[in-house]
Amino acid sequence: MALTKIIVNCETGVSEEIELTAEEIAQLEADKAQGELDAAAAQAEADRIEALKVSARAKLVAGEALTAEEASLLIG
Amino acid sequence: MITDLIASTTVGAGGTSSIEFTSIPGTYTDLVILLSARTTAASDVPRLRANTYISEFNKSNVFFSNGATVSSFSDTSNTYVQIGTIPGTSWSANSFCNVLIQLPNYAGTTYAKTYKTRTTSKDSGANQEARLTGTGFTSFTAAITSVQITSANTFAQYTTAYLYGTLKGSGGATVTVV
Repeated sequence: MALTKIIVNCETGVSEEIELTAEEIAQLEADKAQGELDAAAAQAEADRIEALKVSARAKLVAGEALTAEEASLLIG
Repeated sequence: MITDLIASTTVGAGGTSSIEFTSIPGTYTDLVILLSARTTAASDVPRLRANTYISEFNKSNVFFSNGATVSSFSDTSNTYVQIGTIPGTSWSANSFCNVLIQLPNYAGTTYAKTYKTRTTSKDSGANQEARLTGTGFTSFTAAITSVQITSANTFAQYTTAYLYGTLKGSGGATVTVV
């Protein structure tokens, strides 16, 4: 099935659905690739922060020194 | 403050990859876009552009949460604005997200445009959720006359998009800056 876009003209109120051009499809593919990179980066960051929190809590309980970043995560 | 519905659309049975509002009148103060969306893929992160600009979105700071962890990152991809995670086939069948996009002073031509987005996705069945708040700025000062919301996959049937224009109110005290 062809990829389409809905265009709503706010001046006339007319709405139409047309097929994407080859250029637009190429941009979508590029967006998709960038989106996957962004999602991976975001997940990696979330995982890193969670790991730091776990480490910080354990160190706090054990009476060990926290890194500056671990301390910031706990108390801002 | 006065809010008018400028235009709206609902995605039909075939789905669509992009929703565009064109010929936006410049008679309002700010623009607000409300999106209720779902994708035909497992999930998706839609993108927002204005005036078909591709590389003028300088930087945004995004705060997101999946319910268990709150994280943030700076998006410097500068080709679009990330709106947030929208549900798809990996979510329950009737799960849609709510997206609020604000474009203040969209019709002005003096200052670079800024934007704010908020997205909430909650699975109606499984314990799955996503929330995103993003703010950022662009490098273009031209008035916004069109906006494009694109999916890297396909927006599913019953996805809706509403474009509102808000007008600043009148009355109240006048403040003079000296």
